[in-house]
Amino acid sequence: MSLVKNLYRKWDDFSLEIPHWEIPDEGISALWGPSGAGKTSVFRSLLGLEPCPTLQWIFHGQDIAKLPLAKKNLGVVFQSLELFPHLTAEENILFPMQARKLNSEHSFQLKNTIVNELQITKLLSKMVHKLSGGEQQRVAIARALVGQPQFLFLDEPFSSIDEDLKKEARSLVAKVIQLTKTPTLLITHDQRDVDALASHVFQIRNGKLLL
Amino acid sequence: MELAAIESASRWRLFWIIIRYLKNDLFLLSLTIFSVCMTSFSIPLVLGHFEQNTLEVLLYQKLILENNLSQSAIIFLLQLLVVGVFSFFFLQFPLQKVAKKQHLTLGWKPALLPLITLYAWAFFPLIFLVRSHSLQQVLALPELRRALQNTFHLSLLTGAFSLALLLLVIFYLPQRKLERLLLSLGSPSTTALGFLFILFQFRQGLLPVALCLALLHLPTLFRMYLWPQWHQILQQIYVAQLQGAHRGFIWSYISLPQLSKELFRAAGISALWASGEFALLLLLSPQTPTLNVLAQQLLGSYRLDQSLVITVFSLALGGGVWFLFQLVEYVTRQKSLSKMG
Repeated sequence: MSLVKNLYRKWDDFSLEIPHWEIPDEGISALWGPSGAGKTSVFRSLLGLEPCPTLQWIFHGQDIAKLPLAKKNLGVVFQSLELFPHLTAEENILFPMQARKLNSEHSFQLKNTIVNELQITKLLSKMVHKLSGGEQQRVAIARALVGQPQFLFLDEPFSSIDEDLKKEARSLVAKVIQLTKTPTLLITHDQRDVDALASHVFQIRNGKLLL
Repeated sequence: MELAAIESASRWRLFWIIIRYLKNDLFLLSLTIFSVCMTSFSIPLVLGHFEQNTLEVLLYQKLILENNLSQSAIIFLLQLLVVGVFSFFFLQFPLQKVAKKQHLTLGWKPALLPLITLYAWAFFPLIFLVRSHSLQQVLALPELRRALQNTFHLSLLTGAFSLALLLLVIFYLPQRKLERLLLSLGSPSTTALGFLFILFQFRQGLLPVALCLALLHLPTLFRMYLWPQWHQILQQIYVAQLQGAHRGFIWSYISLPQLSKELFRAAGISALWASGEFALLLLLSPQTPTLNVLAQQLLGSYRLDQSLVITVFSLALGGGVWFLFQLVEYVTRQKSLSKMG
């Protein structure tokens, strides 16, 4: 279990008030709520992209909130995916491995397994801007997982793909997360994402968690 | 706009729609222009007499000519205060709104700036160029060759320094304080920065002039060329940081490949601006003739036609160096693309 404490932020017309939140350190936990409920603010605060001086996030005995971004060892898939457009799919996927100097045989085996499971082997040599929305999404998931993060964040990961492909995409993502055993926080407004993936659900409204 | 046109909106109505849409950008631009003009030195010095001067020329008069440090300090503080107040509004009001929306629409292409500048300013001097005897008189000037060489070197050096400074800036970004500093500073005072160089005895030759010019150009270049593009890749930089990449890694794999065009374009513009420089040369290295120093001397002796011919030379040379920077960027990009292929 990881513990989030004192997540307080105030804007002109909105405030975030989460004094205590226990996020399971296994499976997929969903933070679910309507637009404007504060999901993205929670997500950005936990990642460290929004300043939140009071925040504590205790995980494996360490306060991750106080660490610089590069030391947090987190994986993230943004809604906009944010793939590096000037690189190929493979270069994108290898990026976290190079950044974290993960060059053991096990790391490369894990990378190959993830790539196979997500069925993107044939796409590796392509520039990412030439891939379809669904293919880009799978590359982004692979990139987030090959770096062996201690926690994975998924921000509305299925919003940019067609309805027909969403079902398949959800099952692929569930499979690969189960395979790597990475604790995950899924941020979504879509009840179907929650039903298909989440083992724990946290509902948020007006910046507060509903118990 | 298309919808408004289809629904038969009048020209006047369309105009107001555009104005309302662009009001933030127009406000931003007017503030930038104000702060640049506030610290502008060369044009008021050439055109105005000391009796009808600007704060910047008054600062030059008090600091350099009269060596009156106390009055200079007050003028400098006053200038900082005015620019500071405008910078505050610049940061507080429109910039934050634009940043919130995460898209900056300037409404014009910065790439066209050098061409527009060249054509706009070359038009009048060209009339004098066709008078062949002016051209011949200029070509016969004994100091022309040295002035050409010096201008070329100054332009190239300033572009190189600007490139180096901008590379350093994107290495350190995202850094809230640095970003705020570069966005809020209109442009440092030419005279004050020049005086600082004099104080540290760093004033011989073209090197200090080029460095000083690059420092003067830095905030404007950052705002005009780098910041909008850099803002677009900011999320990618965050992703890279979260994946454990350090500054150097992000700089070489993410920022540099995607911003190289803007970096070289900005360096080229800095080189172009430097080719028209004479004010700092007068402060720091008055013994080094460049085309614009020569043009100013000719202007002083009422040889207007020759002075304008020299100005055209200077603009052409600056344009050439700008083109050189774009060529280097193009060749580097092609090489890296073929490497990737």
